[in-house]
Amino acid sequence: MGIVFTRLFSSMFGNREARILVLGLDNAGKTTILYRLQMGEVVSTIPSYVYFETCELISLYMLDAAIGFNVETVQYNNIKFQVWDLGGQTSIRPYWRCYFPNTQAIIYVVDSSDTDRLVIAKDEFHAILEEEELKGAVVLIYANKQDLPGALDDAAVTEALELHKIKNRQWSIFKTSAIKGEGLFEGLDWLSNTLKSGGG
Amino acid sequence: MSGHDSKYFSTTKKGEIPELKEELNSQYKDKRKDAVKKVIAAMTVGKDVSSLFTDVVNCMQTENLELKKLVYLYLINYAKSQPDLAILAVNTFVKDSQDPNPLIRALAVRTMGCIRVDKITEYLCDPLQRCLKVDLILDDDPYVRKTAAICVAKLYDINAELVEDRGFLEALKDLISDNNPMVVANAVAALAEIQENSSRPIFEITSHTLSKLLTALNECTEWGQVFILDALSKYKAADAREAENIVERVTPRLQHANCAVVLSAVKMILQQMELITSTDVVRNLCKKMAPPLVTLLSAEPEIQYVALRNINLIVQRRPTILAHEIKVFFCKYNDPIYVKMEKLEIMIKLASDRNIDQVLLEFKEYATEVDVDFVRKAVRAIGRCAIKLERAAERCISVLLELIKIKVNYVVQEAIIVIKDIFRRYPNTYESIIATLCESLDTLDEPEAKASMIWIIGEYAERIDNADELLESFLESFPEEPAQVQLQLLTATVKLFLKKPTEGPQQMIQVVLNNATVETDNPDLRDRAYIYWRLLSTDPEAAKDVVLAEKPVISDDSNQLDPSLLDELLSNIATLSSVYHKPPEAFVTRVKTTQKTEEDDYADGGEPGYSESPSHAVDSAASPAATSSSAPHAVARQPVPATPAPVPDLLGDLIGLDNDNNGNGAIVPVDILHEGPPLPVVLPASTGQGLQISAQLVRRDGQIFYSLLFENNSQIPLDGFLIQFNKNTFGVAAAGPLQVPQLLPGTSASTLLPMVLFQNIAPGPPNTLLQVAVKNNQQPVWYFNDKLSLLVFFSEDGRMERSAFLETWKSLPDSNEVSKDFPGIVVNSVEATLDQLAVSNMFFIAKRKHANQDVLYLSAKIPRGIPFLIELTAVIGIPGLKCAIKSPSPEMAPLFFEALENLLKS
Repeated sequence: MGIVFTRLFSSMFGNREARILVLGLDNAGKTTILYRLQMGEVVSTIPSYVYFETCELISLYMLDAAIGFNVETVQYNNIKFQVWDLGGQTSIRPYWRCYFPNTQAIIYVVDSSDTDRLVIAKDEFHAILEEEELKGAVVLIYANKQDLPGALDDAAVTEALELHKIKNRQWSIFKTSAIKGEGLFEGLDWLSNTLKSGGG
Repeated sequence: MSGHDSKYFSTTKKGEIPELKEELNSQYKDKRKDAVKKVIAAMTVGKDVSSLFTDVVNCMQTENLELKKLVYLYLINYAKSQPDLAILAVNTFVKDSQDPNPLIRALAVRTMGCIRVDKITEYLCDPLQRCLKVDLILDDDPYVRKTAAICVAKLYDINAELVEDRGFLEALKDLISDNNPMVVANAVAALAEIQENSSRPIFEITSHTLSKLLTALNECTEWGQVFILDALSKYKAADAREAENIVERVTPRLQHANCAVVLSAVKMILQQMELITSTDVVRNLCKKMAPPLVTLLSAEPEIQYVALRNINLIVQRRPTILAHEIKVFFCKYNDPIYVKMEKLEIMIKLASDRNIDQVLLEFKEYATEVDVDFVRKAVRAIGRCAIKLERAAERCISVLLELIKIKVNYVVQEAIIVIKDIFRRYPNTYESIIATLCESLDTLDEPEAKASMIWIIGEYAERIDNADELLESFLESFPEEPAQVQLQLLTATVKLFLKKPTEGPQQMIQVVLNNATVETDNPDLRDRAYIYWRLLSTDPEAAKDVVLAEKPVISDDSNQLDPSLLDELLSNIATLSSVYHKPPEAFVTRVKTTQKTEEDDYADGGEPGYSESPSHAVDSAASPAATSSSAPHAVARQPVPATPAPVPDLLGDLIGLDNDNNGNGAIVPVDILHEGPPLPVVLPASTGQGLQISAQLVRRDGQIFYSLLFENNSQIPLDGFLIQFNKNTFGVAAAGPLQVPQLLPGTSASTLLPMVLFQNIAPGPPNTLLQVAVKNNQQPVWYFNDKLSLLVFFSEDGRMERSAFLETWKSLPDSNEVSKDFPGIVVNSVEATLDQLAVSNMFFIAKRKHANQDVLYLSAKIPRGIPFLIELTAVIGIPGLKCAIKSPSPEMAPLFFEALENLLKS
């Protein structure tokens, strides 16, 4: 009997993993978010060229920033997310498009304290939305690094990213602090609900 | 035709690649794995599946080791063709090199080494550093450490500077003291490899490392032993005592089942023996080395051949080792011919008064076999023994005479050739046999045999009653004879005349001299004839003294190597070098000097497409791949006797990633003459009354040539070509006369005329005009204009160090900078452009990115040491190239731009 039910359930959600891309500029916190989501532990990454000195929490894991990609499977709210964390360095951004096909959702991570590069973040973001292959993808924005002084709040980030321009797409923005683990799962709740209701 | 037929053009089949792509992106792991397998299968049969790069790489982060290996295999194959995308794999390497599973760590490190993409090399240093743990503890798994050691050597090949900066060399040297013998062996292999590609001393064995190596020697795998022995053979022992100690530790290796180990041990012992003074010890060692060498001859013929070639060298240095073993070298009837030939050679070397009877019996036997080449060599061997062993000469000659009596044509001819040498060695001793020789005069048809016979007749004319008749019979066909025979005929006739100045010979000599002076094209023959003629006409007595002078006695030195060459070859025993009997530089291109330029060429710019990495791993018994380019292990090509390697079994199941390299990669064509596009026509046939000339200045091996093609489309033969160059900017002029044969109507001839510079320099501002005049005996003088391309003047030594480049750039005032835009030139690939420039001796210095532009810096040098500092700015794929140059001679800039444009446009 148990097997039959599993099959029933799985057929309701296709027994597949939702494919999610985590995108954003370098040093936005993508890899930390990925491992935070996966392990619920604080993970701090050290890009090979920028040295973190402001890091308040001693990290349990010291990972290099993704030059290339990380992929992990996260189980949340009965949905399996296949989360792809793509490196955000300028040199790698052109290759994001290789990962666009069959994507249900995008998590766009913004370093809310890096006001200088918000413009670049905006441009990259809108460029992604233009992509044909991502037409049906749901967009979740993390206004990350809220723990840092001078970080913009979600409203300000919404403004800076010109999110109001988004048409024909479900989106939402959440204030997060990946290092403290705040806001991440609220966002994921929204994402899983949207996907379940057929948004993806 | 109706519109319905359009359906034939639209197909529902998607084709293999899109199908694979879909499967690779499948959500099911099994399907993905199957898809990767299909991709690898397609790759193996030679289909291009590089377009699936990202899709395959996306499958890389997996728990499944099998899948991971497949993806890695794919990466190694295609990272080169997708250098930009290769960066996507970096993160996985970083993660895998920290994996708790040592297999995965090693796999990652090993794959990193095989990915020869410069762009990601730098990223790969961190993971490598982690495995070598330069400052901290080493990776606790020896397999990972040894893989890392090999990886350092490979990395050095890609980017030597990086390896040194990162301290990897020191780490590698520390690995020599590792407690695991496999790690030691691989560290030694890696260091030896690096040493070969570097001109600085990097790997030197000290007394400390010596004891480490000697300890590791007994415990490591057979191929590891080979590497350690090779390294030890380069060690210069401090004194005889130390040498003796080392040799003592190494002698047990002589009993090894693997012939590569045996040969390397022999090499090492021979090297150290040079230092050992005690004759007892030396005699003892010689005794010990004989049995293993003999054992090698019971292996397969291919190994026998390698062993024989090496033994050939060894007996030249120390004949005593095998003095009593000559029987081993007797040819068996079923030996392959190449083994027989080598055995003969060694038999001659080992022949002595003691064993000559036995040896002669063998030779005589061989001389009646069926293989012509072998028979000839056997006959020649008899002659060489006669020359070598005075006391045996008579016996040898009697054997030769017996052979002549068989009347087999080629035996007779060969015998005559060697008998001539015997006469030279023992003058006035065996002339009694001349009569026998003369019997077979008519059968001679080979030039060498004929020439030998004629020499004998001339030399002993006074004792041969009918010498004049004999020579006369040859004279009839004088004009048709090959040069060798003509020369001998000439000399023999002169000798005959001097010895018997009678009427017959007098007439003969007239005929011969006439033939050899007036009717011949051969300058050697003509010169010799004139000398004789003049001698005879001025002072016949003096001619007698010259022509009939006593000749020095010859000795047998054929196939003897020059002592210094022998030394070098002996230090390369057990490598291809000792098989070819050539020093490594003679057949391997990647020796130090060329290596350096090659490596610098691509310091930032990618990969030389043709040069396969010489880096090989000494992995397991299964992959004995040769190691060094300059001295690849010849023996290593042979199937390895299946000795289970004392290596953890985790070795066994890895895909033999290192096997991909060629064991015989050393045989690289050294210098293929660059045959470019057809030469531009400078004098069309319509202007030249049917003579068409195409020409261009070219640079080859650092020398400038004027490459010319003459085509005679006229109705008359043309000859007597001469060439003259007008004054020009570089003072280019011919270094020698133009050598063009007579051109019959409808034929053509091409020639390379060597050129010199700064002969007659035209004053005024530099220009590219080269005015040339060509004349021949039949036509008026033709004048035509050619263009000097600055490119041919760029010398091979134009490479600058980065620092020197910077300094020169700074030191030159801005007024010396000239720039120009080339709107029509598109740079599609930095690497391709750099390759193109490197061919013309413009050397890559550095590269940087400026916005979306690539900025390249190069250096070049024209004669008189005037440097050109070049800056090229372009956006990849978009037309438009900006070129700025700085030079002490900015007035040359227009010439430079013109040349560059022509180069890049093509």
